[in-house]
Amino acid sequence: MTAWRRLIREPAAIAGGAIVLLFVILAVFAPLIAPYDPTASDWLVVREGPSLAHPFGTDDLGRDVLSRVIYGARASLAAGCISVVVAMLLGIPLGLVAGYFGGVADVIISRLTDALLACPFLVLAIALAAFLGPSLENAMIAIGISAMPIFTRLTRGQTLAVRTEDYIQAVIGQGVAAPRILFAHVLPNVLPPIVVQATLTTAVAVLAEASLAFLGLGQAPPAPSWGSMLDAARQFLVDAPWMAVWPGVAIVAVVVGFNLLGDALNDVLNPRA
Amino acid sequence: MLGFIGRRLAVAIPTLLLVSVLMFGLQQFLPGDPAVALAGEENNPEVIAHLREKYQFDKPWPVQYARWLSAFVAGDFGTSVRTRLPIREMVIDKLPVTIELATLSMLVALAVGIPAGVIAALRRGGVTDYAVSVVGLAGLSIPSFWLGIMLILAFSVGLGWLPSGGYVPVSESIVGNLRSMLLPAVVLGTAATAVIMRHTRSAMLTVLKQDFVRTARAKGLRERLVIARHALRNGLIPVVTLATLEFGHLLSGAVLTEQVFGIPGFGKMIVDGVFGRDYAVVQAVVIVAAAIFLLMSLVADLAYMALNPRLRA
Repeated sequence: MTAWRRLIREPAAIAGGAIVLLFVILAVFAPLIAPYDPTASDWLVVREGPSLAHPFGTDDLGRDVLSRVIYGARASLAAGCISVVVAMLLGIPLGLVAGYFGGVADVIISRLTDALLACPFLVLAIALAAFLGPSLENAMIAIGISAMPIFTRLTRGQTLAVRTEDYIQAVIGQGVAAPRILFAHVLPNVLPPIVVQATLTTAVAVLAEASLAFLGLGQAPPAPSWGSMLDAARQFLVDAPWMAVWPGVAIVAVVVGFNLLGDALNDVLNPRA
Repeated sequence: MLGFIGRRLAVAIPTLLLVSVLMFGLQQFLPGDPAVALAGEENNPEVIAHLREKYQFDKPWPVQYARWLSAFVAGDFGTSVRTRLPIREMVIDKLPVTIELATLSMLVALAVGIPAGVIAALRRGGVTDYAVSVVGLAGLSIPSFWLGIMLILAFSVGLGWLPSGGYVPVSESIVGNLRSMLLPAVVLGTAATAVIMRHTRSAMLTVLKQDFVRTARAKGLRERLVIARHALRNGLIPVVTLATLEFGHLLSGAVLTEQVFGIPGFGKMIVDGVFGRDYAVVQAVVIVAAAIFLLMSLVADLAYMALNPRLRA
């Protein structure tokens, strides 16, 4: 049975995939789905509780919380996916080079990876975001660089194992150029655990983006971001508790979705793990 | 054992040096003159010139790094632009608060995670096992700052049982200290609880299949003793290692928890450093955090060696 067929028979994969798909639809079609403009203030409905007109209530500037939660999916998913792509684009080639060539390249890359892994993930992301300056793009780069060593270490280990296989030795014997061996022969064979890691890291990246935004190091206001919505909600816990509930529920749902998908992919692609 | 520690330190020290190079290198990308930033509002050209000479900002990058590193190793982490205090004093002042928070969080994680993991393993496939899996997934997926806000809403705003923030030092009042730390410890300990719960479950499932457990049962030993004396003792060895490593991770999570509850710890120090453009503070926090993380990795390995009789010889 193909991996795809096994995946769609996993209940966790179906649940996780459905949640992620729902938020992708919300993000892509936000202008069609959201009932209001997420940045438009209405001073007549400041901090109003949930009602038929505003099912999730309104915030301190009279903006519709439901619309902001829907638009917030854009920043969250974009940050989650792009930062993982950044981490993979940086981490995988380094891991391939370290594992395939060994020697000095391996020593340098492995020590660099150790140094980055020694820094607590979020502390490193905060420090990088601080040095780069607060914005959604810089938060993505900061999270991507912080997550990079995970991919470098994983790819290196897998490459070390694959390098000694007969089919790789055969293409080396044919005199195929190293870059072609790495990307055409080694990479496809080390990909399954990387795909699993990428899915699980997306969950971590979504949490990290929300954390940076909560600290004021992410999406700049007034554009909606779940983390910055929660930061704003802290000031009004007594008067408007609904402001604090829905952005958090959205973050939990997306992270659960990616975690379920990652666990199911792991069961299908790495059955021995 | 000493040889092992020596070998590990021989790897840890260059790693830490590399962290310092990375953090120092980042500063070079910052726009503006660091001497002007350090002078702050005191825009006196003489002061700026003095600072530039003192910190050798006009010298090449490696010279600046060598000066900075030798001062750092000697315990001079620089001066905070924002508070004007020596950063070393700030670290000494703030770090114990975070260590207390991390310790309490770890106690919460162990007290909940181990029993829950054991029960889930003993009732594999049952409702309890399923519930533990769901709670474990939720624990790993809930952002700590949101959980903090929800607990403040319930226990401070709603029920009025616990303070919504602030920190009471132990020297002032032990009860007050524990009251101020209870919610933050639960919040910070939630993810660690989930990790410990999952690992305890899988470690116990492995151990329960081992021959010595079957032998203990065959001897007619009561099930409670089989679990407590034989299975748990062996099953907890990897969990102890994991808990030690998790302690290092708690430092990372403490940043958000301290921010939500207004606890003046190490994590809040980096956030204040970021917003005060106090990059020397940010550098110092990252390097000290990395040092603690490497130390905890060493302690985890030593604990594993000490607890596992097969590795002790």
